[in-house]
Amino acid sequence: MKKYIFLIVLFLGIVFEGFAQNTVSGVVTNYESEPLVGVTVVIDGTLTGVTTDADGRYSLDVNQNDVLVFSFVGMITQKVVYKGQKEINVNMISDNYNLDDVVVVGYGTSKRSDLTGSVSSVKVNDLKNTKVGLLGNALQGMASGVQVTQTNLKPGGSVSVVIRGKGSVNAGNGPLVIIDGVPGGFDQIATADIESIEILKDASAASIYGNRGSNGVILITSKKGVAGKTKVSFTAQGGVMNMVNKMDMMSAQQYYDLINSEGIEYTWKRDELLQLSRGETTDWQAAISEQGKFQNYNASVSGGSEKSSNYLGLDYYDMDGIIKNSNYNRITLRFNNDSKLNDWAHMGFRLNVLESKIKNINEETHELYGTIFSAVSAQPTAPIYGSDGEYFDGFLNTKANPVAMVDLLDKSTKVTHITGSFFVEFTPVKHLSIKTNNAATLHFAITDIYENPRMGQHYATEGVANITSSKSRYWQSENTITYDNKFGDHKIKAMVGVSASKSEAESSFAQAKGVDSVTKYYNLGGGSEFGPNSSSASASTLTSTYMRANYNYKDRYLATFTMRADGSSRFAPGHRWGYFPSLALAWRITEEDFMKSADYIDNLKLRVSAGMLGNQNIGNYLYQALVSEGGQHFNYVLNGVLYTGAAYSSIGNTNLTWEKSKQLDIALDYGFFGNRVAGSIDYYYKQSTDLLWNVTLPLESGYQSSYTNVGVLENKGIEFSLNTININKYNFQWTSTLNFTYNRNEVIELYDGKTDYNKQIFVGHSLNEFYMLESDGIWQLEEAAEAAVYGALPGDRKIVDNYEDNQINSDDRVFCGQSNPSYYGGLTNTFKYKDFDLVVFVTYAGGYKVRNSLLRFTNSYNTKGNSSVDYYNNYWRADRPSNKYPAPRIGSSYLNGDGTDAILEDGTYARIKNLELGYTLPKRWTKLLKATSLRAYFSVQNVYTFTKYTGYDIEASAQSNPYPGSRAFIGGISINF
Amino acid sequence: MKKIIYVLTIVILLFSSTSCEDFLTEVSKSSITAENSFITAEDWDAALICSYAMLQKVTGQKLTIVLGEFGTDEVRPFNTSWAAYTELMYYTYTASHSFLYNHYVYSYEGVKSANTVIDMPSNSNMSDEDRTMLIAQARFLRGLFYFELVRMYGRIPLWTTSTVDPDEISKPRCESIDDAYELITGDLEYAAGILPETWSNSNDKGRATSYAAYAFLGRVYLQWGKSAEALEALNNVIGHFNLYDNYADIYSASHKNEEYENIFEVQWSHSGYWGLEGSLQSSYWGARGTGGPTAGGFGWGGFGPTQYLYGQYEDDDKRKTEFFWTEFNGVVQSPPAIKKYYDENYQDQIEDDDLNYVYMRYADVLLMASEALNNIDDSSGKKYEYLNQVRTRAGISSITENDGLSKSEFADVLLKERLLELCCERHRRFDLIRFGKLNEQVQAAYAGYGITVGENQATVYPIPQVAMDANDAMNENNPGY
Repeated sequence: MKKYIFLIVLFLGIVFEGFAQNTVSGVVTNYESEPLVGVTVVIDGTLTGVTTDADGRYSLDVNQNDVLVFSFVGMITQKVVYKGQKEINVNMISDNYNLDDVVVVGYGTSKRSDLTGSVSSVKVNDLKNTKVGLLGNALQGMASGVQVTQTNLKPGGSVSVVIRGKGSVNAGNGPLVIIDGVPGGFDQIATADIESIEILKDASAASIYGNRGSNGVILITSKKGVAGKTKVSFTAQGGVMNMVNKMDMMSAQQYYDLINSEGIEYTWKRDELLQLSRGETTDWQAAISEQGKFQNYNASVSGGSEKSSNYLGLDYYDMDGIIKNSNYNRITLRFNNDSKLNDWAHMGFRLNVLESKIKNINEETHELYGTIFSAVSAQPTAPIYGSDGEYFDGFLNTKANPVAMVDLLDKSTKVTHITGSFFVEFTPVKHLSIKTNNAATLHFAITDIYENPRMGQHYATEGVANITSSKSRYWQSENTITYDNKFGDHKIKAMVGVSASKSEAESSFAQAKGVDSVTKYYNLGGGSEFGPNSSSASASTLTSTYMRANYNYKDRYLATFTMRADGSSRFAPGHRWGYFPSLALAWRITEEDFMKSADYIDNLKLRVSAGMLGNQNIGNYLYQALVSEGGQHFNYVLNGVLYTGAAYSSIGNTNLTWEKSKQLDIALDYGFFGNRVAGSIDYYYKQSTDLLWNVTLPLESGYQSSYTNVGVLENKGIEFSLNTININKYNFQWTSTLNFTYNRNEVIELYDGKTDYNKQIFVGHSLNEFYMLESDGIWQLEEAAEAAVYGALPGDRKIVDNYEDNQINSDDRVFCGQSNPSYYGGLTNTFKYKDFDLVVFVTYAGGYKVRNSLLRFTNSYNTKGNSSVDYYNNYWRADRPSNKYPAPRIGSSYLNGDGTDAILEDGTYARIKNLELGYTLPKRWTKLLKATSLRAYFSVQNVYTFTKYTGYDIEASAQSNPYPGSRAFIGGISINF
Repeated sequence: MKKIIYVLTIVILLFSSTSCEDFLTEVSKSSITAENSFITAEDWDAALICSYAMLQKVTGQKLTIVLGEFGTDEVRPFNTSWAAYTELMYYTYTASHSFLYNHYVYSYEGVKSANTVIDMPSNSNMSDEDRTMLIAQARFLRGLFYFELVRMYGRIPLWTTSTVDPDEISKPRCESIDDAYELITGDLEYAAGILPETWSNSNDKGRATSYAAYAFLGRVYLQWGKSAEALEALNNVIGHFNLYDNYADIYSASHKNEEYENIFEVQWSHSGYWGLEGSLQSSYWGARGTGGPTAGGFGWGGFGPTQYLYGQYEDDDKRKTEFFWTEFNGVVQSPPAIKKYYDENYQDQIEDDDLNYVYMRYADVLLMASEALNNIDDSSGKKYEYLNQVRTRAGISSITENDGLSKSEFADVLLKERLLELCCERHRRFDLIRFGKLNEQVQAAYAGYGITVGENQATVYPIPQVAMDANDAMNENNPGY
């Protein structure tokens, strides 16, 4: 009927308004400049309209000042006023909150409008904001409630991901990452092979993964082939990186002056005096660094028929870090297939093969040893090479020549990771499907290390080589039955499943001393001394049954009930099973009749969920009392013969069981003005109980610690996400995405009535809140008498005697700020003008302190090592009193500020992580190349960071040997056929 | 219909899980469990071996050098860039000092393993004699570990069984140090009464003997201030050992376990297992500035004897040349480096030596006996005889009654003789504490350094902070910390 009216109106329109009419035509494209087929174009206020053809082209007769309305499923509607243009080419923006989108949930999918839990979908396109770095890094700032920190900036470095606050002390805070149904890691999939990422944040969404879901779940789905035209895509990007925030250290002359003027005993070496006489300074940071290089290529072919479709992806990633000889490269091959067996059964498989190699610098965190620490601390008077032509050795505050370390340290890890899975799904009768999904993972890792004795003092005088080799194997079988039906206004979907999985790991370590410097670890047999050699193996199993029931009444009232029972081999018989239920209710207010008139409101949905999740992420066999045998700690020599010793190594705890997390989520999803303003706001509350805590035992017992279920930890917070389309003109669009999360973490209860745990964790405070001595500048000359009370001299660091007992000790410690951000988030602004696009992506975090471990060395008299220029200019001297840095007096207490708040800095920052300008080739040119689209872009990564932090990089702040941060300049091209 | 049967079969296959509990039972692969360990005599000996191994941890490497000799007139750090070192020398350390923690943990791990053996069930799979012999050794070791603890930290919690009751895992500090000393002397008395004078099987050389137990008993009683008891214990040893003519033989790898002068040695071997290749003493004490890892000028260990120590020797004292390098491979050593731990087979190779640590030797026994005799105002003249045995070997003049030394003057001579004879053998701090001269000697050796030894610092270290924090039954640290 509608169609007829439409035709009639159309006809009438042509007849009656035919006189003043012009024809307008154009092409409608999406953000990627691909033509959109089937877009409805109507004149506002009329039913006059057309739809776009296979090339996205439309043509319509219009009058001056007519408003053309472009609408399409999953796109924000756009209006254009006709002002006599011949051609109106329209870019449309996709709707991130489209209610008809299909969202992946645990063991199934759901329409977005049917969701009751808290699920954030990350747009795959937004992942491109991170070009250097792996997938985990790319999630930073992408979703509310998801805190990502790149704690190690080396090529291939890992990230820490925390969802809705840290809920565990010792059982890990990282989310469960599921790739195509199989547990995995961020470094196990090429970003370009990803179809979608869903982050399950609340109990309702995550409890179907009850056993491992307490830290949230990240579901990654890889691309699959779609029936139809074969699609070929190719992407190439590459660029260079430069170190940022290089430390400003003293010159050779300043260093010499400092040592001499303070009467510190040191005999200058001939090489140092020579260097001083020439007025030269060794810039060790410059000497170990170089311009980094980055390249990434990706090719994919996808397509198929209704019977069978395939996706093939090949990805190569290669990065040379800004420190010499640090590198990460990875090649990934993915092959996905989906096939229809008959009209009631289909199957498919997923295969991912990955090979990677990471070449490391010396990452020892122990002060004096690591590569970066050595370069910061090595005396500037020392030359790189001594007058004998060999690497200079004999550093005062480091144990090896930094340049020798980057030149000679040979330390790499090679990984081969294979994941394969296949599924078969039957639909024997209507509404019922049975699915079995079976997967296995094989992981091999080999770490080869050769320590060349020429590197310096720290290394053995004969070359040492060792190999660590490990293999792990994992399999799982997951079987589900789903029933999905509709009875009038009642929609029901129910799923039950059982699964079992097992992981096994084994590793071995072999070492030899005195090996040949050419054959190194490839011929340990060539060494002169062997060992210690060691090996280990372990296994764990998990078995589960689970069910989920969804109920939907008139699309207005939604309910989801989930229940999961898990048994884990990590706990003793009788304590193995954990039960994790959840219930969620949702009310789609906009579906109510009384809301129909409010047409500027597109979506309002109130959600409430509550449930319990579990965590068993501890080592294997911890409930058993174990006896360890052999090794350096246990063996003894009698009359020159080695005897094997044995001792109880753990007391065991047969009561050990699941860590539990009770979670509550109250949320509102909203969408206004044609979803031009959309997002959601969540309040959450998480209470973790029976924490799997590796509690320090009284040392007198002879045991160090034991896992115990104790303590209560709480996280509560507010998440806010807002997506706005600020400007939506046919040739210019500006969209903004903001997310903000506030989290409050608090320790509610410890055990045995304790109010603190080793003075590290305190009831009523956040986890790992800093508890330190309070520094208050420097003792001045006129305060000599008061300083003497504390055994200090003018020029020493002044510590506040908070306990007021005329001595400074651990009783004087006070709380100095929390160590986890209290808020964080991201802001993306995207501009598109005709064929140009511009992205500005900012991440931020704040409300916390960071421990800048390097400050202990750079901003103090780094006894005989190098200090910062700031220290040189501002340390206390009798003739130049200062309240900033203490005098370089050996033996003075708290000289380097260790244990005091002097090494804390404000962690608040905002970082422009990506600034990217892109250009999409117009259709007429791409056609010549027989391509569907071609985009070229230039991006600056890590443009600038606004922060008071003074080290290399705020995110990798807590180490005294951090890999420095860098700024990258990257160009790229992507082409689709 | 066929389809339904298909599907039903599949469903039954998929959902019929095997016995869950079997599937969920995983047994440790790389460690043994309590049920299948400690059954045979060898198993129990392995537990004892582990307690012996803790002697390596406690006395080996540098823990007891740093804690027992830094902050005395005898040894000082040269590498002043390491706060952990300078804090000990300057007496600015706190309870958080990492060396204290390590020493404390290793000592108590030794106690734990010893207790495992001491608690051995009487129905163990071995003869009563074997069983008693294992327990006697374990009690000897427990006595040693507790002596290490009590003289470092004062009142310490006492664990005397191996069973861990989670409800009583926090044990308070003992009421007085006497409680600890009674436990220690009880253990050593018991061991002395049972252990053999020497082990006949050569593969048992290195295990505790009755002489070792008596000698340590003497050391313990002396430190406790009970000279008569000390003397009684030491008298069981005197006359059964000798003094080497050649000083190098005391420490030499080729004279290990001869039981000639050395009464108890912590055993090490150049085993070929990296990490176990030796006590590292030759590296720690080696000459400085001789290239390679010692090029920084502090030596590999970053410490060495003081100039004060070297200055105490008379020129005709043989030990002045036998114990010190004033020059090594052409590099002048100033202050001179110690020669005691030079292993001629490995010379200045770092991390390589084949030396034992001589924990108790006869010269020490003689000096202790002399000290005990002086303390109890013995008039037999034996205190001169014992002292002079040590002095005669060194080629210096004897001290006799004719010198007319008062009791305290004789004590001063003894303290100095202990320095000259036993320097760099990890005894100095405890000697100075026993003689009440710690602060005096620190000031003598480091005049002008502005070092203040607190009143309490001159007797005990603080209980490590981590231990304080982990044990709810310990609330107060030692006074002054």
